[in-house]
Formats: sequence, structure tokens, C-alpha cells
Amino acid sequence: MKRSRADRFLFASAALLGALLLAFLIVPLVQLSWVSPLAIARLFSIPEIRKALILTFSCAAAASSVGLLLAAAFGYWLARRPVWISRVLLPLVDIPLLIPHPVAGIALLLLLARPGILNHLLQSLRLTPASGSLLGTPAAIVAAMLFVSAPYQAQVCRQAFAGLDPAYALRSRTLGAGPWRTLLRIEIPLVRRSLLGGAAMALARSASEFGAILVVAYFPRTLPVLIYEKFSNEGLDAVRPLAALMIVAGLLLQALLHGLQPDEALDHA
Amino acid sequence: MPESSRYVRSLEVDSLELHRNSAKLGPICFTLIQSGCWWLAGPSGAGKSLLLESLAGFHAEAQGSVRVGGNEVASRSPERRAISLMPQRWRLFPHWTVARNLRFAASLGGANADRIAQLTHRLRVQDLVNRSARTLSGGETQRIALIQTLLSPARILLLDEPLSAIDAALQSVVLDLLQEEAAAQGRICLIAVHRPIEGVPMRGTLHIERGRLLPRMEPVRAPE
Repeated sequence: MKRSRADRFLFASAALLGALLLAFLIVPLVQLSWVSPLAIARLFSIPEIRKALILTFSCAAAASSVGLLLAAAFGYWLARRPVWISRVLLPLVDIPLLIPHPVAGIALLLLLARPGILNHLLQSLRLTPASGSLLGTPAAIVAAMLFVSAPYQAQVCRQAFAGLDPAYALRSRTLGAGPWRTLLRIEIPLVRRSLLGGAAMALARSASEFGAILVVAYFPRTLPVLIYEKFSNEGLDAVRPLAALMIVAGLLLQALLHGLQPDEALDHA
Repeated sequence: MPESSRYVRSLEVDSLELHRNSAKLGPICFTLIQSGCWWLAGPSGAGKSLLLESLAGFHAEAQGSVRVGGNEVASRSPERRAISLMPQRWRLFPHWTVARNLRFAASLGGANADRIAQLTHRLRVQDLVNRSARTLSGGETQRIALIQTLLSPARILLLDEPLSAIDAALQSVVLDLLQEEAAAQGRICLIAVHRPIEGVPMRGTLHIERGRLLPRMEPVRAPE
């Protein structure tokens, strides 16, 4: 199509506004993370930070793994039900994303604190933690991370299974494969990139969670809690290498997420 | 003993009906009591695909009786009917190579590597086995899909326009293979086409129009 002057003006305006948004999102992060790589490397020699780093990412990995299993099952089931069920259930699943994160943490208190439902369950299984409550344990951190990241995963998994051509499953079944074999050999492999992409997104979301974790487990400290504490006590300069580390970790996860995008999604990108 | 390994020699359909969106099928009644190949002929939109899909258990809403070797299978899931359908638009499993697609079907039907080699040689696709399933042309895909269907444990094979993307020279090879498979393995092949191909010795022809079978079902060859 030949472009008119009005076309060029429209594109220029859109590009200018887009550049403004990009600058607003990127400049503060670049400014914050503009520290010497040596300063970031030195962080790994501080035991307190090393501990927080390991705790944060191990809990985030646990939350995204549990989330992947549960959300994949939920998404698979939902994708095979009438659309009205999705219309009712998906907004409910999204609620943890819509409430302030400290409120999510307070909601989890009812589940995790003594005498919460989960503690009753653990008590009956004789699995009660030494402190008598799950609060302030890595389990509470995982629960908080799962609470705020699983909704993303549920959406991604439902979309992945709903977008899969049902003809593949029918072909597998008519060749003689049962439903489990069809799920494990055909359907999951065909949507695996989407499922893993959802898990990577959940990992990033979990690792950056602050508000809900603050309520259920101030100690042991995750990286976001440690950053907040250092910022409150020691000021901006003390926190910049640590913040830069989180930004670099976020970039790495973003690269992983991009790599896991289904081919079709990249085609349209 | 699993249904599929029995020497099934009959397909009996009684009062089969399906209402799906604006399409209406049936009531359909017919019986095929000998192993061999049969045409299912009718114009586009006559209900050929809908009938085959209903027989294969693809539509939960289908009503009526479908008996395979005397056993009622209408309420069973597709893999437990001893019926396998090769749909008109068959896409292979795209995350695998051709060889893996064939091994998957073979593992379900208890076939071995020799049988895969024999069928791929017969349909002249032995050079394709290491290719990704995504890279095949329509005709190549159709031949691989046909081999997958032949490798399945089913004794009733429903083939929806299996020759549509296959060139004329290979069509007779495919039809000969189907005749031999039916005779050797006691299978019934119901092959949907717009118009039966002249001169091919089939057991008979079912004619379908507007979702109903026409009363004529000729010619039927005497059992050998």
C-alpha cells in the first residue's frame, strides 16, 4: 500500500508515544542497575545474600513446579469443558492478581497460621513443624509465591490446551491409544513449550514477590525482603547492586521465556 | 482377549442418528458381514464423514447401535471399538519424525519393524521415514496416515477419501494393498469416495445422500 502523509503522521505519532512508554519502563531500571559488575559479583561472597538468593530461587522453583502440575491439570480439564465454565471459573482464579499483595498474605494467614486449616491437616498427619505453625518457614514462602503466580499459569495452561487441535487426540484414540497415553505422548508434548513458558513466567513472578511473603514469612528473608530492609536501613546506594542482581535475573528469565514461546507465537511476534 | 485381536467379520449398524449443528445424519442401518473393502459413495455434504466419525466414536451425541463382531460398541470410547478412522484431513503428529509416527501406531497394534518396512516399501515412502512429519506434502502425509491406520489394532478400517491427494499411478497400489490387508487379516475397509472407481473389485457400495443411506447396495460380490 502506498502511504499518504496522514499515514506517515499516524505512524510517527504512534512511534513517539511508544518510545515514551519504553523510556518510562526502561530508564529507571537501567539507572538503578548502572553499577559495576564487580559490585554485583561481590554480593555472592556475602553469606546473608547468598542464603537469600538460594532461598528465593529454590522456593520460586518449587512454587512454579507445583503450580505447573496443578495448573496443567486445571487447564486441561477446563479446556475440555463448555466455555461457560471457563467464564465462571477463570475470573475466580484471577482474584489473587487483583487484590493488594499484603491482602493475599493476610488471606494465607488463615490457611497457614495456628489453628489454620493446613495446620489441622498437618497435625492429623503428624507432620506439624517444630515451631507449631507453618508461618515463617520456606513452606509459607512457597505458598505465598504459588498464590500470586498460579493464576498466570492456569491461564497459560488453559489457553495451551484449548488452542490444541482436538484432531490430534482423536487420531491417537482411533489408532488405539487410551486417554492417558494420548495425554502423555501426544497432547503434553505438543503444548510443552507453552506450559514451560508459563512455568518460567511463574518463576519470575514468584522470585519477585514481596507483599504476600512479608506477611507470612518475614524471616527467613527472601531477596525482595532483604532489598526492602537494606533500602530502609542503609539507603539507596547500599541496595543498588542487589537490585541490579534481581534485574539481571529477570532479564535471564525473560530470555528463557522468549525461547520457550511456541513457534506460532514467535511467527506473529 | 482384547476385542481388536478377534477375527472380526461383521459391522452391524442399526438406527444410527446424529444431530450436530445444522447437520443431520440417519437413521442409518446397514450390515457388512464379510471381510473385504466396501465403497461409501456420495456427493459432498452427503454425510459420509459424519457417518464414519460416528462409527469411530468421535461424536458423543450419536445415538443407535454399532456392533463389531457381534459386540455392541456404541457406548465405548474410540480406542475400545476395534474401529479405526483415517479422517479426510489427517495431520501426522507434528512433534515426531515419520518413523516415530509409525512406531507409535505399531506399538498400539503390536506390529513389528518388519511390518512397518513392508508397508512403507509397498507405498513407496521408505525414503521419508527420517523426515520430520511437518515437512511432508499432502500426498506423502496421506500415505503415511494410511500406514498408521493399517498398523492399528482395529479390524474395521474407515477411510475418508484416502485417495484424494494420491496420484493416479499410486491409487491402484493403495487399493490393491487395502484388498490384500482385508483378505489376509479379516478386516473390513469402508472407503468413502465421491464416486466409486470403475473396475475395482469391491464387495459392494453403500450410497449416502442427505445423511441417509439409499436402499440400493450393489454390486455385492459373492464371498470367496
